[in-house]
Amino acid sequence: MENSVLDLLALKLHFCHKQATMTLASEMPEILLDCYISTPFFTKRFINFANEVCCMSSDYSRILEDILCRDSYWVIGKRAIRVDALEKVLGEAKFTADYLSKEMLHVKVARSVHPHAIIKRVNKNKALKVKGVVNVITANDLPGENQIGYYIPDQPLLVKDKARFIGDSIALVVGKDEYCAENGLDALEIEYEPLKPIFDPEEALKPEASKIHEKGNIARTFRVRKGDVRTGFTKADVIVENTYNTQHQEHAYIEPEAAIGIPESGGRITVVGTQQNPFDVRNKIAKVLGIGQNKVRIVTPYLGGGFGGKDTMGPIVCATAAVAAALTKKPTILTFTREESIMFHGKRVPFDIRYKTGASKDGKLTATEIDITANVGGYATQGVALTKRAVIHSTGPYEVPTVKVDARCVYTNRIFPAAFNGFGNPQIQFAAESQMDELAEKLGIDPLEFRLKNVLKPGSRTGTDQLLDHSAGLEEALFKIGRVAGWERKRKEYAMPQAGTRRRGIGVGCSWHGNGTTGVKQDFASASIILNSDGTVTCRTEIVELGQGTHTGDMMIVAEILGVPMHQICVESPDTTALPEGGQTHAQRGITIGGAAVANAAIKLRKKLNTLASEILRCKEEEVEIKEGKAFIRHNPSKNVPFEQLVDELYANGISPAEYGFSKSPREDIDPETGLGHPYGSYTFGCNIAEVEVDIETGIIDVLRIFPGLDAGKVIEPELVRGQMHGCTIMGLGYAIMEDLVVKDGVVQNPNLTDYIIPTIADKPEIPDCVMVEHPYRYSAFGAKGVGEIALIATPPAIVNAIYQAIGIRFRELPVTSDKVYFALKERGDKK
Amino acid sequence: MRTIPPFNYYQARTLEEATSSLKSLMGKAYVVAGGTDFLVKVKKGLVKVENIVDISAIKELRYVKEDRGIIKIGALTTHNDIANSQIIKEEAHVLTDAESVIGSVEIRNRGTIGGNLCNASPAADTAPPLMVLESKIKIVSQDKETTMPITDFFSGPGKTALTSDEILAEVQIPFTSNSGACFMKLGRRNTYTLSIISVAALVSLEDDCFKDVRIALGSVAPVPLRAKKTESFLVGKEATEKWIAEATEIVKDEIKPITDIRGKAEYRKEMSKVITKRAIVESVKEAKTNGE
Repeated sequence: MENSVLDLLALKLHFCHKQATMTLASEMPEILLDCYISTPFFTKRFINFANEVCCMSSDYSRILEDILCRDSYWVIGKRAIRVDALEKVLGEAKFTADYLSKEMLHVKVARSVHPHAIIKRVNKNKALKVKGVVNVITANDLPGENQIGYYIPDQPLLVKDKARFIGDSIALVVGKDEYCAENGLDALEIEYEPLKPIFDPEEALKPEASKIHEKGNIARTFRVRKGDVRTGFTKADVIVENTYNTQHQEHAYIEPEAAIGIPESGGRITVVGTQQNPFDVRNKIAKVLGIGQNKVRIVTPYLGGGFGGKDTMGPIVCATAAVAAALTKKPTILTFTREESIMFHGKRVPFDIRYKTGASKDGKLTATEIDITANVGGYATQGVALTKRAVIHSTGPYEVPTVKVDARCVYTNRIFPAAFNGFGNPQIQFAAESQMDELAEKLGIDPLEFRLKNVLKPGSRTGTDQLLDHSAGLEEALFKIGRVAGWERKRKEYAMPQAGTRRRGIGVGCSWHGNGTTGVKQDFASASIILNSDGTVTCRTEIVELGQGTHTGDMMIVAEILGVPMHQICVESPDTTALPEGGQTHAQRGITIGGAAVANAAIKLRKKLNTLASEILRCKEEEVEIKEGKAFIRHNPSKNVPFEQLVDELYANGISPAEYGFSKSPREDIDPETGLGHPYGSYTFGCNIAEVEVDIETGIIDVLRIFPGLDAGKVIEPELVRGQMHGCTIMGLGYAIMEDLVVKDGVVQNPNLTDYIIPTIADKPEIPDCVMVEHPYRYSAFGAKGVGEIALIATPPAIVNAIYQAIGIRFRELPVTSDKVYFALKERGDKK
Repeated sequence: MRTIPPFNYYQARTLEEATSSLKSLMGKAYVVAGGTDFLVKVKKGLVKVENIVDISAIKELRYVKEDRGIIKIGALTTHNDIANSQIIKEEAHVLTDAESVIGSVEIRNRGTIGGNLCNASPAADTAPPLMVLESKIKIVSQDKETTMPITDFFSGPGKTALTSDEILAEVQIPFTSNSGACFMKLGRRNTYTLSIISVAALVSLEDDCFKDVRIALGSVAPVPLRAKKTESFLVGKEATEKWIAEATEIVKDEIKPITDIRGKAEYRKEMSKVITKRAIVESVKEAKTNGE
């Protein structure tokens, strides 16, 4: 058996990188899963291989053949009612602050009023005397390690010596209600010695600049060296070199941050909060409180949006509530007002990008040389990983033979970064895709055709030299979206002189996004399924439901594999006491990796059910089919046993009716020196075409239509995918032409939704039906890939490229607001 | 949220009760109607409150009626009441156009015309239409009742001609016949947006020439203002795009915009030309139709 599996591993060398395979070998059961959870085509290939080469008459391969090698599925790919639809429509769904009760204390955070300052003294006395103030907590009071940093341990939960941005947490004031806590804040005496603040990364990089952190102002650097770019550029007939700048973007989730800490007996603590990463939150709280991970229980409520912001903020707000609760020994709640939320949670990171691209006359890319400076503000948080993701994706979804990338994360005294839909990728694809259009113009090739000439496809190697052996369907998606959008006709039409005060243009933007965490650790996921004695099913996933719909996808995966109707399945939010440690709800990993864990558990149970059913029905195991709540003999469906009875028999026979599922993404981190490797198991591909109309008298941009296209592997539920495409597209539109956090001397000037504007429904362009091409991924449930971020990334370049066609002006700084357009037209001499 | 220090709360059920409270409080009181602007300021601690006279329950101040060629609007009439009023749509649609794009539906259901004017924001969208309609406002105190042209009402951002014992009770709009009018607003997005600039225009024509021209702008100066020089330049001129374009070169010098979070001063200056031109052109089109 072991040899067979190793042989199977050997086969996988064709597909995977060697080192990843060795890691996989240590998890033998998982390798089985890898074959089982895939689409018919690949599954057949592997099952054939398993049967013929490895002589694996294993039970698994039979189940797989039965369940997964089908031309069409029972529920997968069809419409389903969201698991959370009714409770959300009825207002029954509970979000963190809904758990507020009268007995709870309220904690508020005392924040630095200086962007950069030595904290000389914190005097609690006056604050403690304020009526209703229960406790004041400073760094000295923390029982464990004062550290909440995400990838680099550079961020204390409560700063002791030095504040690094306006809003840095210095102390916590706990009061009987929110008013008392706020009054306590007002009375708290903090003595500062202000230091010269640095807001610009260029300043921070100067040798004479004061150090924001002891180790200096560079948090981390990344590089890629693929081939020799000098040779690459000598082969180029045209070279385009530009700089690009992007801004801070605010998440503006409908639910601001909140967390509740509840002290339990035996030194344990339970925390309910707005987070996208229950296990990270647990592990960090355990450290801050100096207790074991088994004493911290994180219960996950519904989230009113996260977009990555609650991935960064989750540990911070949850640890704040946990510390306040643990030290006062009373349930304690922390809630952010909208203003606090906008001012003090991390933002999308501004990038300064220098981008040089070369291409030959025949329209092939020959070299890219890219330099990225990420302004990560006071603390690196996820700024490090998102810069790394930007570096990995920096070439765009194209074949580029020679690549040189250098990137650095620079500390300044601005607000720290947060994960945000796209995670470094919107910034870099804006640059990459603008470059593509400029090259196409110089070469006299249509921008869409130019992309098709260079697009990554099966057999291509990425900018980090990763071989894409399958599931790379951008070529097909791009081709189809061009047809759907009427690209050729409109491109010609809008190139003709246009009368009146409005100019139309059409533009395209492509995107790609690796599915899975860009961090340092391995990317694994956990799940559990319990078959209850009445035939209902309880599935628990590590994935947080923040509106994206993954729980519904999980329900469908379970229904398809177990043959149970969807309404009999409940999908529960993560609880750290109920599952082994898993990963975060980010990086488009919810279905790709989280869903694979759910499928893993379901297949283990299906095996048991098949065996038991064959005994009850007196047939061969491979003749058993389970569907629509019944187990039956495939060629004689009248001979059947209801699912409830089957489960009952499990219990009666002493067979465990529950299973854990676990999955791990096959990947290998990039080499720190060369930047080469295969950092993601799979990539989702996207392409958006935008049509805009620019009012040349006012500069106002009207985005008329956006046509989104993607390859996200097998689509589990088309309507959920559409929802993601629409939401992401509109968020990308906001990033491209509207949203800008205005910061003056470190202070946010627009900390409300009146002045920080995001698109409303009246700003939504027409979004015709999405083009979804399905190039299934081998190592996920039914071949699905993630869709949560892809359309956002493709939107800004599509819009900016369309604006260029409309008015002939290229914008290399976001957002492209109406005043910028107006003055650019004026500067060109269009106006008196 | 910080503790709001204790204050005295007076609920007036009639205009008489309200003015009497104001008099007895010697002016040390805030008058509150819809509260859409006021409560935000209180919560942020921007105003220190000793006394509040809540007039939102005064039923007699919520009406739209016609009285001998004058439309009378009670101060407590909500934005949506006005946006949906048939008589205003027919006789002063330039106000309807402005009222229907103020804030959001929720704000329009709660906020009142009196509150919007008394809040005296330079960006108040109701002001430019009322100015070109040459509206008057009725002010009532315990001792007297006066009316004044709306153009005299605003004295600075957040400041009005009201003395501390007075209440704005009514807005009066005279009928304007054979005219065309238009309200245009430039915001940063298509709805729920504060103006970068707003313009109301009202014109009447005689033999294809401007007989009467009224132009008012919001968000471009400390107070909403009439562009008098631009208006007088146009009177007597032929109603053509050429003259209108020339006139808008004057308008940009009549305004004193600032740079704020919503727009840069230079952009506002440039846009005052474009939006004024468009508003006049639209008004002319309508005046021609009405004159036929």
